[in-house]
Amino acid sequence: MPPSQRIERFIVGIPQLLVGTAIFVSIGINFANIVGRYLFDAPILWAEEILDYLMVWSVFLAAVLVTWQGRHIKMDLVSVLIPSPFREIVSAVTVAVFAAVCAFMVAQSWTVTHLAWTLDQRSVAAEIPMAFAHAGVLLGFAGMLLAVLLRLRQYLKNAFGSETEAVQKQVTETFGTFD
Amino acid sequence: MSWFVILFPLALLLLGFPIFVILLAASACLLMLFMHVPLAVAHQALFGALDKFSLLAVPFFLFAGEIMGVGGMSKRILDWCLSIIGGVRGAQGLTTIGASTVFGAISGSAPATVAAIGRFTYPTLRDAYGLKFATGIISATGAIDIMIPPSISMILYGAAAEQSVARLFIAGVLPGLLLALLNAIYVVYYARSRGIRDTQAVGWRSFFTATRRGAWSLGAPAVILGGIYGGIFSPTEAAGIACVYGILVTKFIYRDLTWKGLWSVGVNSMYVTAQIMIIVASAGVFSWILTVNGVPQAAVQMVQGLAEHPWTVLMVMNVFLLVVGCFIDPASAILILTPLLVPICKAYNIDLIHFGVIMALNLAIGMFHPPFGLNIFVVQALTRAPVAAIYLGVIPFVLLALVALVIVTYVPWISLFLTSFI
Repeated sequence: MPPSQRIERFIVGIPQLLVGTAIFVSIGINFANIVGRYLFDAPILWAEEILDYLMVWSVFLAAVLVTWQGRHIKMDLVSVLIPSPFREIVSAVTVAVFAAVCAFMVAQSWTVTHLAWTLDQRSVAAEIPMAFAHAGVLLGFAGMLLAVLLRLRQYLKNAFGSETEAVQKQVTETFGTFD
Repeated sequence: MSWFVILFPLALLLLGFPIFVILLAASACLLMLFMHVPLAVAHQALFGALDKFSLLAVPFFLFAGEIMGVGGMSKRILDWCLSIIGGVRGAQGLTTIGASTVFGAISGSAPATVAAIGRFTYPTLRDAYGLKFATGIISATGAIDIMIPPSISMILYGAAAEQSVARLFIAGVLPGLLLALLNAIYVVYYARSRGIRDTQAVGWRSFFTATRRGAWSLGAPAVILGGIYGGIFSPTEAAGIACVYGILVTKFIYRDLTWKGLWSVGVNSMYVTAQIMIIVASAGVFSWILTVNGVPQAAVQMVQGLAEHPWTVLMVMNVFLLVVGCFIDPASAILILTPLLVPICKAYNIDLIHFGVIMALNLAIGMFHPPFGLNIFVVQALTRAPVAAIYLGVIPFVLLALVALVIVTYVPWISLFLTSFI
C-alpha cells in the first residue's frame, strides 16, 4: 500500500469508524435510558454524562474528516470573485490562520487535559477521568492540524470547490438528480 | 477593541475563512491582545459550549432526518397528501407544500427536505406548471421545514439564548403553518388563473390505501411531537427515539436500506453534525469573550440611542437578519448573532421565544432568497434547471414569506399561543 493511502486510511478510516460507531452507540444508550426509566423505573444515571462526552469526541473526530475534505462551513460568495493571484494569496493566509488556530487550541487543550489528569478529576455520575473527556478536543485539533498540513496543496489550490458546490455534491450523491 | 471585535471577523468572513476559524482566531487575538486571563479559558469555554444535553438533539435529529429522507418515507407521505387533496385544482403544488410540512416534522434539514420531497414531485410539477414554478415552489417549501419542529435552528437558538427547546418547537408550529397556508393560497390562485388541470380522482378507498401504506411514515411526527408534548420525552430523548423509529421503519419494515446504507447514513450525519457543532463550540468561546467585555451591553446602549419603540427595533432586526440570511447559513448566523441580539430584545421587553421564531423565519427566507439562497442551488443541482429560471420562479414565494414575516413579527400571539399550553 502506498504511503499516501496508508496516511488516508489512518486519518480518514479510523475517525470514520469511531464516529460511525459513536452515533449508533449514542442512539442505543439514549434508547436504553428511556426504556429503563419508563418500563423498569431504573434510569441509567450515567447516560447523559456519557452521551455528552461521546458527542464531544464524535464532533472533534468528525471535524478532522471535515477538514480532510475541506468542507468546513464558510461564506465564500465574495472570495470566489477574487482574481488570481490574489485568491491564492488569500488561500495561503487562510491555511496559515487555520493551522495557527489549531496549534493554539492544541496548546490550550493540552494545558487543561494535563491539569485534569494531574488532579485526577472525575465526572460526577460516571466517574470517568475528565482528562479523557477533554482529550477529545485535544485530539480533534491535533488531527485537524495534521489534516490541513497533509492537504496543504489542495487547500492552496482551492481544490475543494465552493461551499455551494460542496452542498450540491452532497445532495446529488445522496438523492441523485431528478431527471 | 470594539472595532476589532466587529471588523476583524467581518474581514475574515468576506475572505472566505471557515466560520469556526474566524471565531477562534478572533477569540485568540482578543485573549492575547486585550485580556489578562489564562489562555486556557479558550478550551474551557469551547468544551463548556458543547457539554449541554439539549445539543445532543442536533446529531440525533440530523440522523433521523437523513435516514427517513433516504428511505421511502417521503414518497409515502406525498401519496397520503395527494390522496386527501388530489381532487383540488393545484393538487400537485398543494401536495408539495403539504408533504414538506409533514416531512418538516421529521427532518431538521432544509436541503434534505428539498431533495427528499422534490425528487418525487418535480417531474409532475414541471409538466403541469412549467419549469419556473416547479423549481420555485420546491426551493421555497424547504424553508417550512425550518419552522416546523423539530428544527435545528430552534435547538441552536435555544442553546445560545438559554430558552426552552420544547417551547421554541411549539412556537414555530403556527408560523410554519401560516407560511404553508400562504403558499397554498398562491398555488390554488396560480392553478385556477392559468387553467392548470392537475387533479386526480380521489375517494375514501384511495385515502385508506394511502393511509395504510403511509401509517409508519405518518407515525414519525406523532412519535416525535406526541412524545415531547405528551410529557414523555425531552426534545433530546425524542430525537433519539426518532432515530430508533427511523432505523426500525426504514431498515426492517420498509426494507429501503442495506446495512451498508445504514452505516453510511450514520457517518454522513456525523459529518453534518461536526460542521455545525464545531461552530457551536467556537461561538461559545467568542460569545464568552463578548459577554465579559460588555459588548452586548454596548450594543443595547447604541440601539437604545437610535430606536425608541420595540416595533422599530424589530423592523430593523428583520431587515438586518434578512440580509445576513442571504449570505450566511442559519446555524452560523444564530450562533454568532444571538448573544448580541438577545440583550437588545430583553431591553425592549421582546419575548425571547417570539424572537427565536422571528429569527428562524428570517434565516429560513434567506435559504431561498435570490441571489444566494442555498436551496436555489440545491434545486439547481438536482434538476439541472437554469439558475435564472429558479430565481424567477422563487420570487412570488419570497414575497409571500415576507408577508408571513410581517404577520409573525407584529402578531406575537401566532408564536406564543401554543406555548401557553405547556
